Amino acid sequence: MLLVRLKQILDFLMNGRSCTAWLVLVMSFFMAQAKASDGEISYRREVLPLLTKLGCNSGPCHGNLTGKGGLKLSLRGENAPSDWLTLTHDAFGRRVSTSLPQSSLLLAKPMGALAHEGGIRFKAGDSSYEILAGWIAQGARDDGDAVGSKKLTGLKVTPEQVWLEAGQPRNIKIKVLAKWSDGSTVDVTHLSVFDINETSGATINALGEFQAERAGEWVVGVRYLGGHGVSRLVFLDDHPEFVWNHALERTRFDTAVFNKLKRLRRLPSVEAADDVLMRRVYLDLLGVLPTPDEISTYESDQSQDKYTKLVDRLIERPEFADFWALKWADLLRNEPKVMGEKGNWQFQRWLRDQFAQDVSMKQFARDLITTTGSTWTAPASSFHRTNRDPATAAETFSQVFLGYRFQCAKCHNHPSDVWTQNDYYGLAAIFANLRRKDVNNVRRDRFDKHEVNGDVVVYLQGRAEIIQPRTGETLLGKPPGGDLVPDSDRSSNAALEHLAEWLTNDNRQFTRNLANRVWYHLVGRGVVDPVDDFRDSNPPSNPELLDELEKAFVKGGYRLKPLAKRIVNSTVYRLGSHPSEKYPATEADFGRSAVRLLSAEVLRDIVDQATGYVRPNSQGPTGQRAGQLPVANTRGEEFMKVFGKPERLLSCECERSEETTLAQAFQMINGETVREALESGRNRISKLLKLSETDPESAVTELFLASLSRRPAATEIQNLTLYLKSSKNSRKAWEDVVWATLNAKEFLFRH
Amino acid sequence: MIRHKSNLGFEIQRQFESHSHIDGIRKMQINDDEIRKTALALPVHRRHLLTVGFGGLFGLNLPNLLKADETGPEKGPAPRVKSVIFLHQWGGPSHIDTFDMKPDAPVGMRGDFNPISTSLPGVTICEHMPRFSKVLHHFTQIRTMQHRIKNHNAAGYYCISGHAPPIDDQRLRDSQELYPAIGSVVSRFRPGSDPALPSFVSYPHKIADGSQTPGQFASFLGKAYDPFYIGQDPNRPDFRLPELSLPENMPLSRLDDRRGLVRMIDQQARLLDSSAAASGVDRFQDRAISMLTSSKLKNAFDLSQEPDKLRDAYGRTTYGQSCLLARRLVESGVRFVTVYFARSIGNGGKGGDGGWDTHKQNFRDLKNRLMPITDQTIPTMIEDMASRGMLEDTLLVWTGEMGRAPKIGDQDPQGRGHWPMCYTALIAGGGSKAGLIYGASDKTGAFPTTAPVRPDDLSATIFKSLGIDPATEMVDTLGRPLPISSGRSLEELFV
Repeated sequence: MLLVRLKQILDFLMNGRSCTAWLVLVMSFFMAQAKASDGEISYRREVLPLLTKLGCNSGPCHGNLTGKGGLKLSLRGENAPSDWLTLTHDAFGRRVSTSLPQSSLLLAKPMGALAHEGGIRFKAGDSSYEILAGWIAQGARDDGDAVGSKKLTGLKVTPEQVWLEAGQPRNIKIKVLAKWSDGSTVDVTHLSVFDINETSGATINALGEFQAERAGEWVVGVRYLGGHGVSRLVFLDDHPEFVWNHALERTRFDTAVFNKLKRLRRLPSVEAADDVLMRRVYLDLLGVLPTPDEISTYESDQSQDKYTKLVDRLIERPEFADFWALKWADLLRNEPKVMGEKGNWQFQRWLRDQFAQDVSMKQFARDLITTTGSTWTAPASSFHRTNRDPATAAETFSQVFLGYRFQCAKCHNHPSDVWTQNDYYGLAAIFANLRRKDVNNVRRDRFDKHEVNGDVVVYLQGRAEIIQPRTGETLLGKPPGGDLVPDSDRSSNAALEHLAEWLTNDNRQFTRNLANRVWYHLVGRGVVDPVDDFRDSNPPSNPELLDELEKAFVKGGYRLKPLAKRIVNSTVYRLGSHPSEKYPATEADFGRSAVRLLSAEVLRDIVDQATGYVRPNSQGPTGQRAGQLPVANTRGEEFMKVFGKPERLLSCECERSEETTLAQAFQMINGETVREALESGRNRISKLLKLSETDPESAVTELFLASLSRRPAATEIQNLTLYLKSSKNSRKAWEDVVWATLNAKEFLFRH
Repeated sequence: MIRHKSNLGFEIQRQFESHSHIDGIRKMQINDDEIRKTALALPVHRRHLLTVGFGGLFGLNLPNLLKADETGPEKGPAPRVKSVIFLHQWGGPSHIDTFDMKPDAPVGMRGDFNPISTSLPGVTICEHMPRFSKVLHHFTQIRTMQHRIKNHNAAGYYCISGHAPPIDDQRLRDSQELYPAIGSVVSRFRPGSDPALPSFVSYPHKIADGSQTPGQFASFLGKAYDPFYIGQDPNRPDFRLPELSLPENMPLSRLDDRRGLVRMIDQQARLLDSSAAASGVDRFQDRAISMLTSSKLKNAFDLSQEPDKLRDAYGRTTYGQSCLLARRLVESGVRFVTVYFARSIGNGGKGGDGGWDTHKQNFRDLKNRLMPITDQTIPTMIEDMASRGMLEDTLLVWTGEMGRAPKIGDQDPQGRGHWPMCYTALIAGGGSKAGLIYGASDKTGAFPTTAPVRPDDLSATIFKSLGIDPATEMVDTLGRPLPISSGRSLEELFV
């Protein structure tokens, strides 16, 4: 055997292709063979996962739809038999040559011996090389039949969690064990893919050796075949003189947040001043500003619990229902093209009523899922009007109610989650017997199948089942991770009832998802973030906090108001946005208040509120706020678009853009929406002009209370009165001053 | 009727695939050290493209603004050009009546027009584009463009995004599930180098067939990569940029006063010290104000700086002045310019200013309206660009979203229906093989007889020309990695 091999090599060398690279290749090949002789190298268990790990079958490389450089593999090795054929038989068998292994393109290309656009992926002696070379030497067989019965049951990643004190080297070796259905375990560290959630300041190599350059917290996601796992690594700062500041623990949320801060040795900010907190809680609960009168009354209230009482009052105000209906109208895609004008209004009103009455979110979800009939008379059925096919309904359902992103599983098993294509279509099957009858639909264009402007009657017909497109198998309805819709119940509404029951009856994921969303809307960042991306590899930043939110939500009867009240009463919510001077906590730790650009509707409404302008309204009654409009932003003003009002075509919070852009600066500086409010003859400025003739200081104060919800500082009064006095045109000077408050950062941001 | 026949039964057709094969073999024979060196020099980490990058002007969002100072130019294949001008003929120009004439086709297909000879020996063009016939040698023609999407909005989306639409429906709508415009991807991965200029500019209107055609904006890439869109007609005497024009009651001194007042108020809440987002907005305010006061971008848009004679030569039409503006923008450093030939379609036969959707009166509209405009503007533009040396580093693309049916007679006996199965696209500059006729259609212009080229391939070619690997991944709102193009760059079109 050895002689034959040597002869082949000699022949090869004689061919005039000798060079160092080849020699290295040849020599290392023998070394690899020696090691590989310990046991047979598995195509399914080692070679394919290795190609995934090296990125060979990823989207930008050979996993691309069109392949790369003539080699096309299935995406992340999903089709093992076809990849085996491609590797061993295509390209005249040059990719894998069992008779002359070192000439295999599978080795020569990624090692750089032949030009490879993807660069050098490994070198001789690497474990990757040994596996590939060994597999080829052993005959490059597909062991699918041999290993097919043994299934991967899970990964054990060690360490699961580590808190490392300062002073120690900041590196950790992560080990991955694959657990198989026959009870055996195998170390697959060298075959696993590692992803760090936050790549700045830390690196991990192919062998699972993690290294942090600074103190901080990282989550390493681990993938091997279909299995997933995570390792949480915390490297502490060296703060020898750290002393806890004993921030008040008003709620269990505070305890959870502060416990973590203490361990991290970081200090929360001091609590925000009364006026800052008052502005914040108005904006977060209602989406409007406090009026100057409300501020004065609050200022003069001497009672200890005046904030709590304020919260109690605010949460019962009609703006609360408007504001939270708006958030849910985004998620449930209440947009006029599919909903029609009347349907749009009806659904908006229904949503608003639910929040005004504070119905249990269990009931809310159940109504949306199970209601059928006319969307005009039973608006909850609109869920089935906007989600017009089973796949879309399944995606919306899982994203909104479970916080899972199922979309990946439509075409292939989810790469970074447990969901399979069968889970996806099992859920879709539940919605498969929904039918819609368009009533009085007068399309402006008869070809436009998307426009439904009359009523829609949702009804059920036949069985809830669907054909899985890849396998061709007929799937019965099954909630993800739940039981099949019972076969005994053949009534057409059985599947929807089954799904609603599964969702709302003691389903922790439902509870945690909704509690996390409420926290996100009030605090500015989810405990799991993004809020609709719950998965093992995106764990909660503070598990104890998420548990407490879940408990509080359950205790409050799954209602929004008790949970919202509890959150805004917490110390964490009341913290200032300025970092603590020593050992500052971050927004991600919830140790200081998040500074966030206000949303499009809120900004437009408070521009009007601050300027005292009543904006003409073509879509509803005069004085209606942007936050009350039922429509999505399809034909809306430029201002709303630029500040990110969504078109409601996705059931994702991410559709509402929070980016800050230059276009926004132009809108605030020179845009029509702002100019109109400023330059109108019927706004606050006429009043301020009159007042400033006798008492300029009070006029400035009045403006500050109206726009910035605080009293002006002495220097501000001084400078502004001077500016007003020195201008020739006092109307214009007042416009300038009002404009300046609208462009101040404390106006534009929730802080 | 006397029909001028082409001297050659077939148009010239060259295949370069054999050349690339030879190249490949030659490479194998170079000494191995060379190969190793080459391999080492190749870019290894292409995924880093995902993590760096900054937009231009309106394309500048906060994280990128903060990053802009730190990151150098991105790596990728060596760029062939600095800029791209993408001319989209909305409606679907008839390939059979313009560049890919079929004089030997049966009556009822070949149409009313005669071919004339051109600056390319053996290649003909429609008689109604006499000026174009003299500059045809600057262009590469792709005669085998093909897809299967029959509705304008869906096909238009395919053409301007380079991605097949999920459904072939007239009312396909923009959503973050659809792909961004080619120009948006470019401003994401290869933004213009001058931060005072936008990377991607589009005008003079949005295209629409009933509702707005998707794919004209940045979709899931985010608003930062939207085009700097100007819904204005550059042919109007009062053409100006609304965002950059202060009202008359706002002299610059007043703006300065206002900015001073904001600075003073901002000192109180101290948000600028602790919040990156707030200080980002502050920087944007500064920038917006300095742009309102500076002249660079305004100059680029100021067509009055061009000699009247040249403006006349481009044509005093929306299209003519738009193309002239495109040249000015590229000269000043804009990376990607899209000019839409028309706002809306469906004016067929009425002689209005609709697009190329000639369901009715195909020949009258082509002869009286569409070809005269094209024949006035494009030859002027190509010679203007050539004389300025701009073809060296600019790629010019002329295409529509489909062709027209070989069989005459659609909504009226003189109309031609939609035909995505075969149409012609032109490219020029950027090292493309000037004069090359790539591929060929069959004898009626119905189907390609050589390998079809998809809009995906055209977008891949554009990306590659700008030095962006077409397999680069971008991430959508759900965090899914998606390739910027699933097509193949047509390297055989380039020298």
